[in-house]
Amino acid sequence: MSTYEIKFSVNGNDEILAVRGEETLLRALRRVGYVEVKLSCEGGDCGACAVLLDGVAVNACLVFVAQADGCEITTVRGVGTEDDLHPVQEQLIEKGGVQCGFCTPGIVVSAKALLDENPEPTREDIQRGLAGNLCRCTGYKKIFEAVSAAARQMKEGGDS
Amino acid sequence: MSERVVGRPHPIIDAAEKVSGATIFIDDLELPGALTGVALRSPHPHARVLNVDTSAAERLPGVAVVLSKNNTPDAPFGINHKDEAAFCREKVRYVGDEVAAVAAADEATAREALSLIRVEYEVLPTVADPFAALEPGAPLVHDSVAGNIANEFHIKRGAIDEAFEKADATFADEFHTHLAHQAYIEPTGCAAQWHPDGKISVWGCLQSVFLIRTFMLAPVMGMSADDFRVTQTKPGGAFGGKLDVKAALMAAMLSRAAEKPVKFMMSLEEDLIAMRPRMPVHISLESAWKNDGALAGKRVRIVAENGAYSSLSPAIMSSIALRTDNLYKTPAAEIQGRLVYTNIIPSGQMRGFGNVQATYAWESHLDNVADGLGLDPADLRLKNYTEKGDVSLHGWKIASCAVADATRYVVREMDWKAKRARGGKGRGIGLASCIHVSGNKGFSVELGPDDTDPSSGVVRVDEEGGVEIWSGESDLGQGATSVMAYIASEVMGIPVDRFKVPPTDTGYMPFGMGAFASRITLIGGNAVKLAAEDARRNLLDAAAEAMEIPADELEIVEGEVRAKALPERKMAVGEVVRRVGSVVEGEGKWLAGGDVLDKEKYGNPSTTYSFSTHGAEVEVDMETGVVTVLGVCCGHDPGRVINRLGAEGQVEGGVVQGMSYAMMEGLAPLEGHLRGKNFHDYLIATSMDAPPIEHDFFESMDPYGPYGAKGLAEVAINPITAAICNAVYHATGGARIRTLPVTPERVLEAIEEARI
Amino acid sequence: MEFLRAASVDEALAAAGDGAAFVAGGTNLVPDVLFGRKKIARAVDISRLDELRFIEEADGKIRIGALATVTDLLDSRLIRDAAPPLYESALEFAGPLVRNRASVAGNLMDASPAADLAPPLLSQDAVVELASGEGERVLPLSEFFLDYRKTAARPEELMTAVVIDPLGTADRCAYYKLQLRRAMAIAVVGVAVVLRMEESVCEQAAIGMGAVAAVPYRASAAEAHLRGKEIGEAEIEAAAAAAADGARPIDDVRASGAYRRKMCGVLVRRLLKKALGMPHAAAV
Ligand SMILES: Cc1cc2nc3c(=O)[nH]c(=O)nc-3n(C[C@H](O)[C@H](O)[C@H](O)COP(=O)(O)OP(=O)(O)OC[C@H]3O[C@@H](n4cnc5c(N)ncnc54)[C@H](O)[C@@H]3O)c2cc1C
Ligand code: FES
Ligand code: FES
Repeated sequence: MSTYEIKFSVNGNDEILAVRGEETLLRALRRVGYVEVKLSCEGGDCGACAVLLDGVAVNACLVFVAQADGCEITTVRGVGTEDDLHPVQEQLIEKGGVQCGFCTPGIVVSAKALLDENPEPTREDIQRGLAGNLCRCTGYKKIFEAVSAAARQMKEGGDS
Repeated sequence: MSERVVGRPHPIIDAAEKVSGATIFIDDLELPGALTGVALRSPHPHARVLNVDTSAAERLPGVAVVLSKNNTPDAPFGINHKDEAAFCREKVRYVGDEVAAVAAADEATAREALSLIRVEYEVLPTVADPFAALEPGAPLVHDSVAGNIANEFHIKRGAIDEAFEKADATFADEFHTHLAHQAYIEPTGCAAQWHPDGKISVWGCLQSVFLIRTFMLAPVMGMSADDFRVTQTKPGGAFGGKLDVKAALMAAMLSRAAEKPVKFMMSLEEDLIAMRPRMPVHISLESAWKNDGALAGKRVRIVAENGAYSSLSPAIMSSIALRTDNLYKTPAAEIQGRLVYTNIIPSGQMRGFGNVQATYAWESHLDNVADGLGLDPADLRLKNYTEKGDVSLHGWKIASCAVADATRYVVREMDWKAKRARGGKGRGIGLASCIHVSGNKGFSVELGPDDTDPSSGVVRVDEEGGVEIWSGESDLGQGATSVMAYIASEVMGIPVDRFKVPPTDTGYMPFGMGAFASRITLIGGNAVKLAAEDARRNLLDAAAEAMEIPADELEIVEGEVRAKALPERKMAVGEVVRRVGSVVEGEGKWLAGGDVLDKEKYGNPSTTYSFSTHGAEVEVDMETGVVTVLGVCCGHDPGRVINRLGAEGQVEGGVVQGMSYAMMEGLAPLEGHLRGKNFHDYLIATSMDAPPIEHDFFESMDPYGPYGAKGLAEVAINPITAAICNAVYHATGGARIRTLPVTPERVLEAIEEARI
Repeated sequence: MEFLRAASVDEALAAAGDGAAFVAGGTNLVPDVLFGRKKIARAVDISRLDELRFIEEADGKIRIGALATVTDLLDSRLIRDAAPPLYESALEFAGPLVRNRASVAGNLMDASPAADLAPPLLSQDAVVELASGEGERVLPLSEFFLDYRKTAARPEELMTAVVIDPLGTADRCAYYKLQLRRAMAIAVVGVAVVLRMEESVCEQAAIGMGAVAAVPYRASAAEAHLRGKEIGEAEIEAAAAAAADGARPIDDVRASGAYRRKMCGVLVRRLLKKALGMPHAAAV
């Protein structure tokens, strides 16, 4: 079995790890403790494992971890923690866009990526932007409202 | 309504940890030294197990234990029928049936060990179709169950034959529902830790930590329920599917055998092929009517697909059979139900507990009736709805009811009359209603201690003024425990953010049956309300002593005990507790009212019934059959809304989940093999599919509910399927969807049928 | 499985063959390996070969680098203007997370009958460029798909680019993906139509079909009913009938073969009308 030593940063922390060729980024991140990246379908279908890879939102289950050698990875906790919430997270709380919370880490990552690209998304932009993230609990409506409100909050924050 | 907390919008109390990814779900739980448990599952729908040879697997380095029928006792279990075993014994009965399980140092080793287990099967003919299963001479799923009938009943109530003889018009229809999964995003898993004193701790996303001990763990493992401490982990969704979780048994058995902690996580594929998805049913309906649109009687025949094992299925079938008769004034009914074993994944309960299927069939039928009688479908319903004060044909006592208000709202908001007048050209609207129990006394026979349905709560105030609520009722992620916090906050005058509701834990929490039958808000909520009232009294008594003011002259506001007459004389709740020198506690317990039904299924199973009406507007592509849900409008009667944000979330989540079930889901068995084995073949609604939803609440203030509240989870999903099908019928000028799901292909077939 | 990151195209070519597979976005390959559908000895990572990630206009053609992602297609003005069916197929492709990784070459090399980019690329006369240690060659996409998940590329060949004819003002086109939900769905039927008009006469007709046979293909029999003709109802009906006739769809969990065949006719008729600005049923 071939193993490789790779390096990447996760939320600003440098990690050096020995990986097998077929190991996915999702499995590796969880193995070294980034369990906020959720494992569900492992086939790219649910988006629970979404992370930013060099700033681009991807399914961690669809990347061999060795492909991420040297990259910067951001998980939901890199977007914001309890004491320092990102507007998307604040608004998901406020607007009721979280129920069981299993999809939420992925939703936060996708929503952040969307707002980085498009600071004033329409409802349709938001629907499209979250199309890779399944949520079984909320019916999505409050998630859309939260992302919209976060966009407004960021705009106001930026203006002041 | 002068409440400060109840009725307002609040975020769920654990939202911040969830949005920041800090929540620990079962797969995130760290158990030092834990082994990985995996199961070997049957590749055949039906086969005799001639021999299981685990020797090579046992010899593999890193393997701790291998369990199979060879080294486990023959201890059948099951809620209604003891028809299931931990590991298949003489036969496998569905693809996914557990044949053996391995605990090993890591997943790769465990999976390799599975590949080394040699099972000799003699393949038997598959019983895939329930109607074929009922034919004389059909192969038997359980050799001891003649005719493959797991359960059957035949009830006649009222002058049913006369109703049909004297009817002005009669109508008949048949409907078929599909096998659909709860499809929570978190795959199922459990962990267990054996302790040297012989006790076992179990963790997992479970709807009832108490019941899993009594109906599964204890009887199969030959231990007493007390030997298990079961703790709920934060749930990644359940929707009915986490009541009988065999992963708990697997983890516990492996852990005991290995004398080490074991984590047993199922892959999504295993979850889809081996949990307990929503029961498929085949429903024939006949109804008798007066020309003015009064319902005179109905005949219902049901063939329900039980799958390989029974679990709660008899109760689900019974719910399907009787439920809709209580929504309308039904003078007479004849009901026949047969629950049939097949070699398909055992079916079970999902949000709605059969009511989604029953409501789809009956409410679709009603629109056919309206068409036949030349009446407006909304008017037909409004004429026949049950009302507050009614006792239904089956003995249900309706103590509060606002279904008619909900329907009038939908009619008004959707511009019903104008839109109904169009239709037939690819655009249409439809609506449907439902009734649901809040708690079901019927389950107490199968599940409860001594035929009761109790819940209890403990409220503890600590020296910092924080409050912890202990309830045996699980939150499945939809905010049930937040509801308890709001209720207690309302009662106690302490701000919501001071409340914590830890996950259910049989180790120290009082008994509760768990999350099903929309019972938490009513039964759990009442218990917690009583506990909070008790705690409040105890706090005030303690404060009276400390402040030297009589308790009845004190009140609690914003976490402070204040003299009513002299608000500046005050003491923080935490300080009161410090003065007492220990925690201040309150206890409450609530026994659900209602009756255990008699043998003829007569009686009032709950004290409290919820209602809803859903309307849908659709566009149908008449050439491809593609249906687009343009919008949904719904009215709900949840008695009283406790948390507006949470209630709205339940409704929106229920509607989209129901729409998803109606339009795209399906495990799609073919000859006993499921085809929806991952999330690209088992489709659920994405953000792109979510329609705009308008809705409102019609608060009928139930006399038994805490602050008048009733259950909401299930009325939020039940009617949407029929509403969509009725809208398709209207849009297409008569394409009736008799088999779910509403795929483009099926719609096109129905359009072509309607043209003939 | 061995893993090797190629630092250059040459390095990638040198590491190819002998049970090796290139991995670009990994959206097909990674789960194929994880779930044991593919056993490979070596993964040759090409995902960071930026020289293969471009979309450019050259010599009157559009060249799309092998590693251009589906998101890149959506971000490209050129694709939007000069390859509308391809742009629309990218819009309907999976969801943003997958689109950010999924490469154009990976979609073709995976050779799924339902590969969404294939019908629009076929309809724009795509040519694929293949490279190996032995040199380079080009191949029309219409000759690339041989059979179910079988292509004309040799195992050691690297796809480097896909070249298409841009559509101009005289061209009419339309695209539709029939699917069971609005995103993240495998096509039930995918159709792309391109018509090159000279006044009222159809000079060239190209119809790309997906998910209705073992491979994506050009509906040449249908095209023949249009080419060189003034297109009216009769021509459209004939083309639609020929498209339905020529399909070889199977039954699967998404739809029956019979339904798919019928939809080939419905969609070809509808897309031709849409392309030509004739009245047609709404949804497309
Ligand atoms: C959740 C999900 C949704 C999807 N939805 C869609 C959809 O809507 N429509 C659709 O068409 N597809 C869809 N796909 C399939 C997949 O995303 C696409 O086929 C994608 O374009 C593949 O590109 P890739 O770069 O990820 O390929 P990889 O997975 O990296 O490679 C795929 C195959 O091509 C080979 N390969 C890759 N690049 C080259 C090259 N340059 N030269 C030679 N060989 C090469 C690889 O060896 C491998 O065999 C989906 C996949 C997932 C997981
Ligand atoms: S786990 Fe990666 S998309 Fe589902
Ligand atoms: S909140 Fe439960 S899956 Fe989204």
